[in-house]
Amino acid sequence: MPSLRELQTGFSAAVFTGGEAAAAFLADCVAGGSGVDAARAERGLAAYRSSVLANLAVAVEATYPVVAAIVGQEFLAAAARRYARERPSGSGDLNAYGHDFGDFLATYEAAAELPYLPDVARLEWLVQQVYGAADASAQDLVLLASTAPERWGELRFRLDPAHGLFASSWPVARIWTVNQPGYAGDFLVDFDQAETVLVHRRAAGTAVEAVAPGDHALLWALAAGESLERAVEAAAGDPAFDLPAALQRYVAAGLLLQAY
Amino acid sequence: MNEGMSASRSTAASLPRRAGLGLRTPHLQQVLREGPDTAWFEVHSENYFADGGPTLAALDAVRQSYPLSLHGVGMSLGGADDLDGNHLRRLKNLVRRIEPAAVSEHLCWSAIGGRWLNDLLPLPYTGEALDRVCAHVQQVQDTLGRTILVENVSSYLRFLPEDMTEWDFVAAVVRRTGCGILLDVNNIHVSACNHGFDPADFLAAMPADAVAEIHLAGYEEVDGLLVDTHSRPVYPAVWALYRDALTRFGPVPTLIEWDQDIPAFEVLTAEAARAQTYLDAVSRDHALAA
Repeated sequence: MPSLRELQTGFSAAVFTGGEAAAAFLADCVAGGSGVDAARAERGLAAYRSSVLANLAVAVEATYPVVAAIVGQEFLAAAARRYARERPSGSGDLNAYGHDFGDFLATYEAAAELPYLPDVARLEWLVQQVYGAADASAQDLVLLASTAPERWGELRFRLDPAHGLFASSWPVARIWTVNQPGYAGDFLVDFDQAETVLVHRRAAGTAVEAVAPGDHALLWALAAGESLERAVEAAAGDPAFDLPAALQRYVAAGLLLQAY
Repeated sequence: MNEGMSASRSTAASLPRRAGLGLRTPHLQQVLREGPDTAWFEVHSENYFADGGPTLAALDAVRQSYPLSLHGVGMSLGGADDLDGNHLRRLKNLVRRIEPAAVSEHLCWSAIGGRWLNDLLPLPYTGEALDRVCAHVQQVQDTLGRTILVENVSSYLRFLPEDMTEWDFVAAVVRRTGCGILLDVNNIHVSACNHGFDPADFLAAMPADAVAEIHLAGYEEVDGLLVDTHSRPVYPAVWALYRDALTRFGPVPTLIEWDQDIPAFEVLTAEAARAQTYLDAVSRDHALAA
């Protein structure tokens, strides 16, 4: 009699590898696996293989509706099935599965003609994470108001946990926007346009928008715990960067949550 | 893990002895908007493992108006691997937040060697598997500070050799951990057809006072195998077995589950209404007997 670990290891190999691993599992562990009921045992194993791979693939499909809108549901389903066989799930929560689907798409030959697709998937994953991120505490900028402007550089900021930042060589926020259900504007996308993107969940919904590279650099540095002075240095590469305007914008949006 | 633990079995006392519905994402907003006359709802715990955001807020709102049951699909109670501490911590946080009337998990395994199959996979009914499951049930109950219900799953394979029947395995888990039973009548029917046992033997072996919830759902037949798809109305044979279970166990809180090809909410309500007529009938019989 195999141990519980041996049986479960054999089952997993039979599901993901099939072939000889499946034959060995049926012979060693399954009632009727090598006897008169072998065909029935094979049907049972096939039901599990089909169900496991479908659960994993469907979870990935459900997470990437914009990828689906671009490539079509059939193409996404095939990619998701291959992903499900190749990339292990690391959690009993299926919502956590598919985090590196963008990396997978970058190696998926069938998607090679859509070089922006991996970043679209990475942005979609980020949007999902922002959607379920912790709720923000109350905004508290008393320290900012009580600090003389010439000493603002020493301040640090806690950001709303429900935000994400993303930089791409592709216009991913634009692609995301024109592929939303019910989008009614024009569908022109300038594929030569790189974008830095802010994803921010607010009461009205989750906003996905391209922001200036300087804003992106500022917020990235602040989110990493840098002082405002260091964050402004990080933004200096963007000649159009306007600190007062940026501060005003992200205070009003509730993104700059607390000064400390 | 002593026999005396069974005295603490009171987990589901606050689930109404009525028919409830599995609440899935497509119906969440409709339920909040229309406030249907549903006795209680059950959700999959993992779908609310997020740290915050609109989905969790919606569950808070449902909880304001209805008794809730949290039903886990990913704990892997029967896994040879240790329980996932992160998974357990997230469940604990959710239980603390929602204060559900019941918390349940499946008598199955879902992961091995750190790789998750994210499915309800069958256990060999051996002494080793029993020890493993009981240790894990105990760990979950200790972490949550409450008893849980464990559910029998459908299966498509049997392992050899085994030390006991599935029903003796379920009864032993209850005896040793003090947990309750979430009796899935559809799963009994599916496994009985697939493996050729008499569902009456299963019902007869259940400790009656531990049966705290019943599940009903629909299955599909694929190449002569019954597969637990939760994609159909409840079948007549399962309704019949349900009535046998009610006769034996009394009016137990009953849930209609539907997870694939999810129909309009009204279709689910009609299934629950049918379960309710059987619950009402058995409640009358029990009142007369008393």
